[in-house]
Amino acid sequence: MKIRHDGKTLNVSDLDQLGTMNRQSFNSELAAALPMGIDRIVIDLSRTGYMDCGGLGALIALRNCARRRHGNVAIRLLNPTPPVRHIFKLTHLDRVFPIESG
Amino acid sequence: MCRLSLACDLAGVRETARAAREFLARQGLIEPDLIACELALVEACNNAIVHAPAESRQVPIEINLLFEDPKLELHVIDHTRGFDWPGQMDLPPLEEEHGRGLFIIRSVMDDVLYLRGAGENRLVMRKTWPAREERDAEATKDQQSADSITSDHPSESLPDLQKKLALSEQVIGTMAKELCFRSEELAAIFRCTSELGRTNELESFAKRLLGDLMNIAAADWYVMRLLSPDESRLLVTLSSEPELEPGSVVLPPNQEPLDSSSPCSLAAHSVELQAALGRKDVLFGGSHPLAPADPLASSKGESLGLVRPIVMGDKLLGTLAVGRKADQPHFSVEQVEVIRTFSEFLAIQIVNARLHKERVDLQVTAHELEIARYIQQTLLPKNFPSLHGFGLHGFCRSARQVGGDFYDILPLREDRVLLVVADVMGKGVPAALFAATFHTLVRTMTEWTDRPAELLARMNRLLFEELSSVDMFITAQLVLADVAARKLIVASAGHCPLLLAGPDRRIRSVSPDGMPLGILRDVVFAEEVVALEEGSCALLYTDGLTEARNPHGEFFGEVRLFNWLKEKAGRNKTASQLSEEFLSELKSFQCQVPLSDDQTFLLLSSEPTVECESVISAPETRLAVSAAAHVAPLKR
Repeated sequence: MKIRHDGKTLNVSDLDQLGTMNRQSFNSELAAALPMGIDRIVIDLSRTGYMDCGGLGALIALRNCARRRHGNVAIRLLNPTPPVRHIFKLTHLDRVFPIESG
Repeated sequence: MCRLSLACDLAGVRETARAAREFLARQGLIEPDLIACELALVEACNNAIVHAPAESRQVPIEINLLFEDPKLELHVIDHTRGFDWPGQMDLPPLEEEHGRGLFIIRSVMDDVLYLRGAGENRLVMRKTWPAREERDAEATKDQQSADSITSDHPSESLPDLQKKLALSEQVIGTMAKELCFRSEELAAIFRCTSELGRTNELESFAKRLLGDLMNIAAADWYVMRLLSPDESRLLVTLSSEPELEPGSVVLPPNQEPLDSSSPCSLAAHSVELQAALGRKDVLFGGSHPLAPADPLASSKGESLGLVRPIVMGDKLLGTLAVGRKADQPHFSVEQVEVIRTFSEFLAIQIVNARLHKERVDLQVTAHELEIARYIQQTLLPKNFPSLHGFGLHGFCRSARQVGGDFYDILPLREDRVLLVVADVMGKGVPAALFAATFHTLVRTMTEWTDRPAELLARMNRLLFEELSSVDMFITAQLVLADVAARKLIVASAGHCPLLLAGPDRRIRSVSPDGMPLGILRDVVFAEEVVALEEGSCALLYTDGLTEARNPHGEFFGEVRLFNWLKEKAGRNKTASQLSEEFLSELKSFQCQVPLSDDQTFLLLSSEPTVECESVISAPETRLAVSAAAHVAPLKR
């Protein structure tokens, strides 16, 4: 995956899959790359073909970590595919991770 | 049907789920259902892999997809230790990183059943659809909108409302059914628990319990097997249809658990055996039909159901197979729960009944032995008659609580006495009863004759019928001691020889021909007459003496007996003194080695005539309670 720091935003993209199988590496990579002074993280899910509950857990872990370090950090999901959107709606996590298209 | 195998590796889950999705797509499922199934499968597989202990990681997870329009079943079979399927499934709090998998499965699938066994668990996820046309209509509607999956229509049209109403009615109907089911189940459980304490009897309890189970679980038949006492096979103890007689199921030695990688050929043919050895529930029917060689297959081949092992702790007691006709669905989660609960009740009752029986048996046995002991005690003579110039002493010791040995002394007229030593082959009360009969018969017969050979022949004819019918026999030696005429008339029914030590210290062994009593009806017994000189000593005994062992495993033997007699006899000792000495000799030989057989002997010894003292002495009888005890002799 690609991580790009852009002022107060951290952009994450090119994430092929996010699930139980790679959640640990996702979290440790991001934790290491989390810069100071950001107030939002945007995750581009347009290329993400697979997400399961483990992946949801990874995003929550990311949110908890970011908030601990930098206070109020918003996490947004960009262009999730329909199946991925479905799992967020099922678990009501679309309230925690606002979905954007664009 | 599609079978997929997934190695215990998270990396393979996505690929497998995709393969499953492709199969389902070929069956005609529409996109929303494909997404749902893929999601449910992913979560189920993740669960199975994440919780697999190290030792099961080599065993792949099996996935079965069974599609029969309009029903779909997804099975995920793993080899973890399993977990308790939670009754309530709510979403965890939003900040919680874990715990959504089961919720998702429950949300996207219509029905979920978790069958947990020892070492293998099966998660069954079901989806049922309305008629196909409706589905196709849905599909075209879905394809027209982009965000089709969870569309919330702001305004509801009449058909939508009607659909909602129908759905609500369906839900209420389901809830009503469930309520009814649960209350029936509860009533049955109350009935059962009130009986558990009250009766110790298994069969009628089990019949009632299993009858209730048939109703509550909507099953058609059951077969209950119990482990045989020798633990080698499972025998049918109770079945809903007594006419069908499925054969017994043989267990491998030591009840070795199945090696799941190489199925034992016995187990492959019997679901009951699999359940018993694996200590887990085994489903049969549908995708896993009964093997043709399965004992249940001959009468219940067209059935589906499950076999549950009946277990108390880790001890296998039996199995319970419950089934219904194959055209019906498998048992639901609730029905399986009832089957499990009831099999636990059965286990309790089985153990209860067994313990009770054991207690009763012990009491009966103890009582029987008491009776037999009493009988034996009454047979032995209370005192030894005095004879002119000779003394008598007898001894009888039992190896177990009851022996088959006894001796008797019948004083006849004019200084004649009949000496009897007998050994009834057999144990317990039957042996004691035969000894008593023999004892009485001898006394009766001596009214007509006192010739030993004739006595034996008559008694043999009289006792033959009874003895041979229970496969017992009696060896005996009868000696008519005519002290006045100075002779002994000896007859033997297969017994040890009479040893006679003369005044010259030579030992003579007297063993007239004769078969033990109870072998043939008409036997001719030989008689031998030997002189009874002054200074001699005669010894009658049973083989418990010569077969006594010492700590080195050596027998006392005839030679030692001979030698002892040679040395000790005729040295101006009374019969009771000699007896005492012999016993101490025997005791020092045996040391602490417990008796394996009864020991009996009768000594007739030349005694110095004592003027005033009567030579009447109480016999020594030693009835050891346990073989190892050395009980002190009765005080005179």
